[in-house]
Amino acid sequence: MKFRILGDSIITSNSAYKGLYREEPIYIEDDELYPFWDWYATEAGDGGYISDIEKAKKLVEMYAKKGIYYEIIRIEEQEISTKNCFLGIDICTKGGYSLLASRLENSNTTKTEMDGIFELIKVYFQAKLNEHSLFAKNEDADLFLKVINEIQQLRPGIIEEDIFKKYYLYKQE
Amino acid sequence: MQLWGIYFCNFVHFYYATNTIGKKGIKGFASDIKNAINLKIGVKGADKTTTQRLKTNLQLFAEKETSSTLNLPPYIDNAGKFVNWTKQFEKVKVPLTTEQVDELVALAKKFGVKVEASASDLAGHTGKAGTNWGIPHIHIGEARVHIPVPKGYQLP
Repeated sequence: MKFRILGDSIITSNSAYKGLYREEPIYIEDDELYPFWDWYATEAGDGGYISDIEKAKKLVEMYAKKGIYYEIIRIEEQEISTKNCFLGIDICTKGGYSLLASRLENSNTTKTEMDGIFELIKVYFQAKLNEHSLFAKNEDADLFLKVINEIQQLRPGIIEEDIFKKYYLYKQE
Repeated sequence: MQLWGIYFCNFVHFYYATNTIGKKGIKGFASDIKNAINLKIGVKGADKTTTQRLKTNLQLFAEKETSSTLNLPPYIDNAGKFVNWTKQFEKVKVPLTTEQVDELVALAKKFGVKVEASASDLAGHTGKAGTNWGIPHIHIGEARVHIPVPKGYQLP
């Protein structure tokens, strides 16, 4: 099982977002917190995933005592049956860069010949996102991913050239 | 409120990492910090850690010559910590200088972390509907952290 420890959305204009593109435990100059951050940053390594759930829980507890809040998210590439709360499906790179973090809002003002298509994507898929700014239904996530893949092939480089995949996210209690 | 505390921590961290102190002078830096504290941001715990962090950063600054280079914090000693540290640049989205990016790339190499950038990364992606990272950038690590770079930047 793979987990990530995540906090607030990196895209501050969409604080409701509960996907993978969120803050990770940061270094704080604090003797009590340092061993936890040291473990986390080393264990998470280059990719960001951790597996020791007990240590993760302890870290979350210790940071919370300092007023900094994180939660543990279980990440699956297939839908699973679990008692943990299902947050939704994110469309991300394996490093956690998500196409849903801004709730499909535009931040780019450069005009391109694809603007109409992107507007269509925004209008259609925004309505399919849940309260966490994630897809609730598999078929919506599949269609979005298909459209993104086709745009990547049609106009290489217009969006990130990473491989985007579906990630099923569950809040670990 | 604690959200502001975290933002403030990130701000101080970024401020220090990019050595903005060198541009504004130590008085300007201290003044910014004083103003921020005067806003009474952060809960008690966050204020405490922020103060501790600020103190450390100021002490570290005092020990170093002002330069345009990054100051890698002494606690960064492996790839995971390095990548964790670079995420502040992704969040702030303010381009580093060419010298700073070159230094970051050299540090990545030292820690065995890969650095990548396609032509469209270096130009900034023009997609919309939330799919873009529209400013010139490179990618650090498996996590492919976005590092904002100056326009026209090329990897060494």
